[in-house]
Parts: sequence; C-alpha cells; structure tokens
Amino acid sequence: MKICKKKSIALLCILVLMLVALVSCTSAINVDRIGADTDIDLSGNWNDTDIRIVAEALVGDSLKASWIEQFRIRNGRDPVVIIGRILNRSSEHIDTSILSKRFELAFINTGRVQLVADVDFRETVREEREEQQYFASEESAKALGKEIGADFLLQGAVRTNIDQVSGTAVRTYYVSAELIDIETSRKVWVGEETVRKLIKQSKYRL
Amino acid sequence: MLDTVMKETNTDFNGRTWKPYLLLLVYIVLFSLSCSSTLNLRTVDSLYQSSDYQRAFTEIENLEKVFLKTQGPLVYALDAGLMAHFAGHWDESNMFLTNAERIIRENFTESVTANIATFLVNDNVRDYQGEDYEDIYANIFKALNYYHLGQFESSRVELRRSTEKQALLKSKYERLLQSANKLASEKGQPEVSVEPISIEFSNSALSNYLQMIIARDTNDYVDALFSYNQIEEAFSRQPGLYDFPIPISVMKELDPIPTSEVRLNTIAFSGLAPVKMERITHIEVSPYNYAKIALPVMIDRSSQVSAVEVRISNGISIELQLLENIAKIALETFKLHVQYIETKTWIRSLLKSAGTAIIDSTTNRLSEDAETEELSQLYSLVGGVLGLISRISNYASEQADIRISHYFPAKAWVGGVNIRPGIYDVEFIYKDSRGKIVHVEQISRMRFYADRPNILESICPY
Repeated sequence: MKICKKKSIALLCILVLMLVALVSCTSAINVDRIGADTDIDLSGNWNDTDIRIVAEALVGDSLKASWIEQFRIRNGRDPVVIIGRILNRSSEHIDTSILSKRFELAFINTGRVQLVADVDFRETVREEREEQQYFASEESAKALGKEIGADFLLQGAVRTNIDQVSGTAVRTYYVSAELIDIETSRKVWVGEETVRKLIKQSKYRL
Repeated sequence: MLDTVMKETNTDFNGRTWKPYLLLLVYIVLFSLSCSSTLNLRTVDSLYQSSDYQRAFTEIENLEKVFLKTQGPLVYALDAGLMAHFAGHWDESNMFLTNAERIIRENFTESVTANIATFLVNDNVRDYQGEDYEDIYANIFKALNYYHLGQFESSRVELRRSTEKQALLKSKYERLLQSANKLASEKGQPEVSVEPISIEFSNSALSNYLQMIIARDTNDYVDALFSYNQIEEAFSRQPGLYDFPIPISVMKELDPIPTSEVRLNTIAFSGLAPVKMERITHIEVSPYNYAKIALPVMIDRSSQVSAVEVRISNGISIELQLLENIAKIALETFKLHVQYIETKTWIRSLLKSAGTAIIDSTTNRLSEDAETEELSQLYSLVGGVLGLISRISNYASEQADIRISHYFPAKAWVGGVNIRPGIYDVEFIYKDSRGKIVHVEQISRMRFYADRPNILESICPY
C-alpha cells in the first residue's frame, strides 16, 4: 500500500516535470508562412483579403471595359492614364494607396495603357529634372516641357456602412473607382465592388 | 428568501455540516483576489490645475504600475491619452487612445468566471469595460490629434467611428434595460424604471461639428451639410442633454467665406467630467447581521467657467458658446448602468448576508447537537469566530466599482470667425458666472492657412 502510494507520487512528479518542460520549450512567438490567397480574418477590419477581392474585381472590370480600344481607334495610340487618389471615406484607417498601386501594376502589365507619375511623385520628378539643368552634363540632362499629358484620371473612394446590434455587426465596404476623360470630364468607366462581412463578438468567454 | 435558504441548510445538515465553512474559505480567497489599493492622483491633479500638462503626463506615466494594479489598463490608457493630448503629444495620445479603444472592444467579451465572481464578491473582479462616453470621446480626441498632425482624412475616420458608436448606444441601452428587468424579475425585485432621457444620447453635436468643419475645409460640402443637419438634429431630438441654444456661429459655418479670408474655428474645453464615488447604506438582515450596499455614484465636477472669450491679435474678439455638456452626457448615460448595478448589488449583498446567517444557524445546530458540553462550547467558539470573519469579509468585500477615467473635460465651447490667412497671437479668456477671469491661455504665433482647416484648441482645467 505504502509502495503503491510512493509510486503514484513519483509518477505525479514526473508528469509535472514533463508539463513544465513542455511549457518551457514553447516559444512565445510562433510564425508560419501562409499563402497570399489564404483568407484569414482576425478582427473583422479591412485586411489583405479585402484588398485582393476588391483589386481583382475592379482592375479586371476596368480592363475588360471598351475605353482602351475606343481610345486607340479614335487616336491611333495607347491612352495615357494618371492614377489619382482613392479617398478613404470609411470609418477605418485604410491605406488606399495599395489599391492605387494594384491599378498601376495591372495597367502597365497590359502593354496597352501608358502611365504618368501621379501627383505625389510628380513634384519629386520635376525637382530632379530642374536640378539636372544645373548639375547634370548637357548631353544627359533631360529637357523641360516634355512631360506627357494624361488623357484619363483614375480616382475612387472607399466607404463603409455598419449595421450593428450588441455583439453582431454587418459591415459593408463600398469601393468605387472611375476613369475620367481629363479633356471632357466624361466618365469612361465606373466600377464598384462591395465586400460584406458579418462580424460576431461573443458576449462571454471562459 | 433568507428563510428558505436557512431551511434548506437545516434539511441538508447531516453529512454536509462543514459545507458553509468551506464556502466561506472559498469566498475569502476570492475576496482577497479582488482587494485593491487606491490610486493617488493628487500630484497629477495639482500639475493639471496649474496647466503643466507635460509634467502631469510624465507623472501619469510614472504611475503606470499603480494604475494597472488599481484601475486596470483601460483607465491608464484613457488618462495617459488625454493628458498626452493636452501636452501636445499627438502621436502618443493616439497610441494610448487607440489602445483604450482596443481594450473596450476586447472587454465587451466578458469572462464567464469573472462575471460569476461579480455576483459573489464585487464588480471589481471583472475587467473595466469603460463608460459609453469614454468610448465616444476617445475617438473625438483622436480626431483632434490627427487634425493637429495634419492628417485630415484620418481625423474624419475617427469622427465616423465615433458616429457609429453613438448609433449603437440606443440599442445597447435597450438591451441593458432588458437585462436589468430580467434579473430583477428572476430575483423577485420590482421592474426597473428609467427616465427616458438616459436612452436619448445617440448623437454628439461636438463630433458632428468637427466633421462639418473638416469636411467643409477639405471641399466635401455634401458631408459638411450632412453633419450640419446632424448638429441641428442633436439639439432638437435630445433637449434633455442640449438644454441650451445652438451656438450662433455654428449656423454661419457653411456660409460663403470671402476669397481673401479663411475660417478660424476655436474649440475650448473647460472643467472635468464626473468621477465615481462609493455610496454605502446598511440593511439589517438578521440580528447582528447587516447587508452592506456599496453603490457607485457619479459626482459632478462641473466647470466654473460660464463664458469664454477669444481675443485675436488683429483686434477681433469673439465670445464662444457652449456646444456640448460632456459632464451631463456622462451623468445621463451612466443612469441606466446604475439600475443594473443596483439590482445586482442588492442581490449579491443579501446573498452574502444570508451566508453569514447560514453560518450562525449551522453553529447553533452543531452546538445544540454536541454530545458533550466542551464540544458544544468549542462549536460555539469556532462558529462564532467564523461568523465574525464572514461579517468582516462581507463588509470589506462589498466595494463599489468606481473605476473611471479622470481627465475628460466637462464642457466644449465653440466659435468661428473669418480672418485673413497669416500669423496671429490668440488669447483664450475663461470667466466664471460673475465675469471674473478664472484662466487665461495664450497661444503665440499661430499660422492660419488658406487651403486647410484652421482649428484652434484650448483647455481650461477649471
């Protein structure tokens, strides 16, 4: 009886030691590489999955539309586009420049659209060109007044609507983009993509 | 109810006699976990009142450990965030207030065990979820931080988030009222009655005012007009909270501005929002056995300021008008929580006193049934000591949850004037009801721009 009790205590001690060893072996930070197309939602806020869904839909839609072909037929050359701002009119801090970059990337990769530097970068390019007039050699300095004027301006906005009761919310993102003919202010393409999320937060946890 | 409990204990007496004492032990352990020391903010208050916001902020940071131990991370984040704002540390203020917002969101999900413990010990055993007004005004101060950082789009994001939270309030209050009534009916208490004013707040005029100005000055007239209409709606639909006239300057905010001029908007905050104090009453449950009812009450620390004048170095002087009584909103929105807290406190306190009554009754029974006189005296002595411990721990454990942030202002005053762009010195003069100057803030060499919003903010600690 006494030996049996001692054995039980020894077994219990071993188990406790194993548990301690197991816990101490676990790293506080654990990182796993995951695919870019894996959907992971943690907080319910705007995330990479939303960017991917919206960018794929809007960029694809804009390239499918007939504005490129119509322009080429009328003018015999590729249209020149300037990427304007995608405004954040939502209730979340969203970096909309990621969406702008996706448009830029897709337009250039088609080989049918030319892009000029957007407002944020244009000033830097102009400053560099002006400085070249003084500091670069005559043959390598780039000439002034040779910028290509854009034919179209792309701009957009992200808006949100939320309907919530207690721990349940339906959050809808409306992402719109439009291409405007700079000369005539005519809209040649308008697209909108909606992302709708049902977010539930439990009232109790263990 | 007490009789029923006692009767059940007597029936179960055989074989389970020591159960009440074991329960007492468990309860004392729980209570010891809920004990907390107090937070002394005298130095911070004194620095704040002398407008030394930088040192007050440093002092709060120095008190971080005490804050976390006594008030929890939310109160620390709110107090540090507000003081950082007053000290002009916009980025740091945003960091603290963002953290506060995250904690409020996370604490919406309550721990089941902590929630059960609130029925046994007190409300301090669960994480502080923040008052509604703290959640809403945290976003408003974040919006001001982003404004000062020149990030107007982010500022509007914060204001929209505040609006979303305001919209949620109404349904939240209805749910809380249902919970209080359900709890009351389950425990045989009368139904909770709430003044309609408490469920009125769902639209902040201050939040809409800031949205209107920033939208107007960033050429979004549709949003500016929408926000203007919302200000009018806040005053007309919430007369209990906005029992003063809509500022005249607000009605002129969307008028055309002469081409050579810009619109300067001034916001002055005065006083401090209410804090919570503990109010104690005693109810006799049985002989020498009292139930302690400790309830949190909000104490108004309202502002001494009755008028604010702004003098600009170009000779223009404007009188600011009250736009929002934050203190009143804090007091009113707390009313409904009080109903729920009161119901729960009464139930808990009576249950604790019933526990003491059970110990007394068990002791008497053991003493009566003892085989010898010595054993009977021993039972009486041990039971008496345990009964005393039970009374002391009941009394000490019944503490009101008085956690709340300390530095939200009580009132917001606004004004607007058209001036030529340029650099000016501006003086904010705060006066009491007799016209006596209580505080002056001088802001030197402020530049007002033609192509961006121009909001000048001032704070009066009184």
